[in-house]
Amino acid sequence: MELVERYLQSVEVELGTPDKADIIRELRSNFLDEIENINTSENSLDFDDASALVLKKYGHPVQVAQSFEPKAPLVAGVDMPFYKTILLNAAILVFLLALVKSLSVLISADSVNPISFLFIIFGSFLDNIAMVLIVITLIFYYLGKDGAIQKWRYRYWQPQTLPKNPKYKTSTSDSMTDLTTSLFLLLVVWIPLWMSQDSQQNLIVVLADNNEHWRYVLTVLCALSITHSLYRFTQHSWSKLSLRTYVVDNALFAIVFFIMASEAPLFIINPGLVLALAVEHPDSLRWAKEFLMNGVSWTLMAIGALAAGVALYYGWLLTKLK
Amino acid sequence: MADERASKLRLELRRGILVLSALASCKTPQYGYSMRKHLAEAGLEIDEGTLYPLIRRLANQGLLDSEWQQADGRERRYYRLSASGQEVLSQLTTDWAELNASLTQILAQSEIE
Repeated sequence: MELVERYLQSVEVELGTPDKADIIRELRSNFLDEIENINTSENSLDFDDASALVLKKYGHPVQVAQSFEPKAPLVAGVDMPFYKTILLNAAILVFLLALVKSLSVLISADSVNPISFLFIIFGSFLDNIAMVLIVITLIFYYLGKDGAIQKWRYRYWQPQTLPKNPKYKTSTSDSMTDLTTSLFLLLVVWIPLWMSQDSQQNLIVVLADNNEHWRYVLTVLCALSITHSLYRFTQHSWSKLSLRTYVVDNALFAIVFFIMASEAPLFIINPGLVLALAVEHPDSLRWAKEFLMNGVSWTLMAIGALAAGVALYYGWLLTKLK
Repeated sequence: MADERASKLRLELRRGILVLSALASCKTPQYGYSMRKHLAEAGLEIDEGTLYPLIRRLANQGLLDSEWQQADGRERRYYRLSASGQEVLSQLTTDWAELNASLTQILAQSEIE
């Protein structure tokens, strides 16, 4: 009987319901019936052996408690696919924000330390992802209880509103990449706004004179790109309009980068540091000047070519859309 | 593999008739073990871990009335159909008869084909 009582206490500990005393009382009664049934058969066992056999058949006390008091899942089954999508997108967003934050620290830093850069990214990511996970799960737990999430998602659904080209799905990761790239470009373009004067004076490379207008041109392009990326998050597949806008967006980037590449030098060595560098690192200074004259042009042309390639690819996709 | 699949599907099929079986058993007063034995004798083996929580749930839903009784020096909780349980059993019995008739027809047609 000691074994049965031990088992019942283990079950009771797992039960949270107010009528757990009654459940235990009933379980005790059922166990004794089952044990008695074994002992009335031909090969009767002693009480403890029969008890062990019956209790083993019932299963672990935690399983038994859960069968009497099934717990509602944190996220309803029907909401799981949507939950996973939201979690994945949130994780990507948090990671990209951590990346942007780390890159801004990198730009301000006196030296480049890859290990410290990685630590900053992952530290920032881990700092934020736990809170994001908890908030999203709580939202799904409370709203998913009465099927509210499902009702909300499909509240306006009509067959006529289905996308014309469901096969051509927009990629969330591409939208995230475009968004982050534009945000980072804005960060770089507007360094004078967020970086301290002291840090700016220590920057080795600065924008050449008469090139200030590029800040504004790139700002407009980045704003268009950010708007389009955010819009794409609300769409599951490409439409002709969104695709045309995307092609134009990339084509404009390509044109701007090609023009910037032709207007060398776009960047120069910080005049305040030229003398010091000439004395301390003359070879590095020579190399840097050479890179700023030619290397930057080639880099900008490569980026422009990439943007042009993207524009051409999506232009071709546009011909396939209904 | 096929046996495993069939076994899972068989379990699903049996799960569908558990409530009806339990309610029908409680036309006469039953306690947990006696109900399991009654169903097993009729050819419906149900393990204890499934049946006992089920009859408690039916009692909590008001479909079964229950009371503790002393007999043979032991106490047992006896269940029997409540008034609403009687109504539900009657509806489910009708539904079952209709489903059974439909399924018999479908199976007969598939045999012909």
